[in-house]
Amino acid sequence: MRTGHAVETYGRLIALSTNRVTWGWVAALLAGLVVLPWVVTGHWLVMMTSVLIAAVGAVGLNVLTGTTGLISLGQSGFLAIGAYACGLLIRDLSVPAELAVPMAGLVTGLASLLIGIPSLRLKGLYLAITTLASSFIIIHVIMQAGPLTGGPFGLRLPGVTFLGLSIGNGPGMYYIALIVVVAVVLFVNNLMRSRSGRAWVAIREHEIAARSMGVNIARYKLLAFFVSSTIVGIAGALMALQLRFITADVFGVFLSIEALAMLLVGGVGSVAGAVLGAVFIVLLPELARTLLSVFGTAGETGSALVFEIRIVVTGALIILMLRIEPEGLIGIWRRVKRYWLQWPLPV
Amino acid sequence: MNVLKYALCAALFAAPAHADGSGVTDTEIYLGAVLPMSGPVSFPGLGGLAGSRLAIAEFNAAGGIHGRTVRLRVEDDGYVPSRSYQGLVKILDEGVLALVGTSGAGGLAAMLPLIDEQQVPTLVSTSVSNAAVEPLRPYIYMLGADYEDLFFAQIQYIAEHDQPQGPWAIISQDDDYGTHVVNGFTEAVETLGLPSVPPLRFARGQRDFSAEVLRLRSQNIGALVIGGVIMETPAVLRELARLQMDIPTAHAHTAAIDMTLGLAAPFGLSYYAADYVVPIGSTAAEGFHERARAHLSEEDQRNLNRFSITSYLGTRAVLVAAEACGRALTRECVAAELGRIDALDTGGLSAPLDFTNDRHTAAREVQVVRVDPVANTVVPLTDFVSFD
Repeated sequence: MRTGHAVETYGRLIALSTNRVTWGWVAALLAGLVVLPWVVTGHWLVMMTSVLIAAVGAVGLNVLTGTTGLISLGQSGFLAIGAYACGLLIRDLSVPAELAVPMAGLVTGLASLLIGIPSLRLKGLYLAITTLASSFIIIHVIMQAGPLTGGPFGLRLPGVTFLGLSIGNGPGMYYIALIVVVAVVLFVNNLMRSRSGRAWVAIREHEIAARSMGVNIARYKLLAFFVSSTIVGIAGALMALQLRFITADVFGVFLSIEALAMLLVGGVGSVAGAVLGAVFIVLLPELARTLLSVFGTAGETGSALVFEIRIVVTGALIILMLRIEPEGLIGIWRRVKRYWLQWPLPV
Repeated sequence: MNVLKYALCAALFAAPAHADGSGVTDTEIYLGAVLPMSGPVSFPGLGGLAGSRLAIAEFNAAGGIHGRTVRLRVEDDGYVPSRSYQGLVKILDEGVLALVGTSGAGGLAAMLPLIDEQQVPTLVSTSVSNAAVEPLRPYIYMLGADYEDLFFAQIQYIAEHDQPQGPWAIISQDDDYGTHVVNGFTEAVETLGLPSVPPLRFARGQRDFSAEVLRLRSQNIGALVIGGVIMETPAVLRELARLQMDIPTAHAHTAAIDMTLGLAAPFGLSYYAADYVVPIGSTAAEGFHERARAHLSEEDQRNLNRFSITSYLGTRAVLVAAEACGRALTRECVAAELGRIDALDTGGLSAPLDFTNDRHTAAREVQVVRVDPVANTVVPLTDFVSFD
């Protein structure tokens, strides 16, 4: 049993984990996720794929909002850029989907710099409103650029394959999303241990102090915008592949609020928290459905109540989390883990 | 070992086993629908659900389909395309013979790849969408006139009967629906040789049209086409009333539903609309209400609107096709029988339904109506007329 945590070298201090048991749990989780398509129904497979895509987006947003402290309400716009970039690369330029997804992320990252540069002097509510406005502009441009984007009629992506896997209603899309989420989580976790990660945290904690320590604020803020939006763009590209149809209707403002809710519920500033938040928020309707069925009200119209309840429950959870558990689900998890590790002498 | 252990755990916690995908058992037939039943745009879904339930209840009351009871699996998508897709996956997992509810145009577009993969017989009756029938698929059929025809019919009627003194104008929202309305307007003014001013577009959700209507007044327009859905109708009428512009206006069929009538009543202006089914409050729909009272709950009766009629007709067509298949019921058979439906009587709710191998759209004939929000009446002015 682990009874404490002490490291003697800097290398071990910044290691992702020094404990073999932790790696064992991670391996078990991954193994479980790999076999999942064989044991769940198609509906649950689609839900889990949506969870994974949401997790990619939430981890991306966490870089900007959780780690660097720059609140963004423009995620739906960046998701839309990623989705449309991926769709156009595949449809119009015949770029293979394997390349189109990272390229869509790159396009989104570059586009975010257009918003990031004028936003350098803004923070808090002002930045949030600026990013929200940017998402409106992005959607408007997409709607008006009919010959390119299909305007209000959207884009179709029939017959797309990814690494030889058919992107249909089967496990192919799930595995693609799983590979991407693992890669993104590893990438961001490693980034957090780098100079950039520490600079972002310093900016979040105290901008003036960070500058006095030699952190180039403008550079690192822009880098945060770029990295965050690149990841969010990849999530958008995955959404396009999953739906095989893109329309501006998919990228409403509620999506941005939902993304922020994932961070708040999961735990701001933590990669694991962002993933937990995505799992919770995406599966909330299913939880509501299960609860309704327990009370016997999930008949033919039960599903209508599910989404209404989700909106109410999401709002209530954000309020509760802010009031009772500011560290979110990951805070609860850490306390449980600490209790277990230090039992019978929990602090 | 860990892998095996977790695989076992996952298997234990997994959802119930896959159902038979065809939605047909020895005693039951399952139809499916994905409809917007929550959020601000729930009226088409709730109305459509009531209509499908009525058609199913009638068949069940008459003994079902060759002894099988018909049931409905419904999922709500809140008018969000990604949820339409998720909802469709769920009901297909549970097993459905055919789809009788396909949400709005965006939701349908998100569902189409999956419908194509599984070749599910589908009757699109909630919202007209060209994507459903272009290209023709042997398993997808649709009810309803396109928006081009709905507005052509009104413009032609107004030009003949009101003879507006001044050019025609259009104000239309900037989405797929608005684009169809503009296309119908352009085709009508060009075909009929009517004078017009350039179209105005507005962002979906706009509520203040004071600037647009002032501009139209400065152009001395004689008639106006309003390409909004619900809230835009009273918002434009308010400005017309404020500026005392008593000109004929043409609207979508959603301008003739109770919600819009209630919102438009304070401004005291009557207007035109067009539809491919009779108004829900008209005498032609009395028989429909009578059947609804016999078969539907009070809640479903409260939700009845024009979408109830379209869904009722669509569901009925699917059930007629299923009945023609006999006991050996398959998706292929239902799709084929839908294509053979010939002059199916609708009881006057629309023109008779006709499908052929080359034409998968029925009820394309349009009726122009006069809407009086103050008197709360919707009066048919024409028969159902084809604009093919």
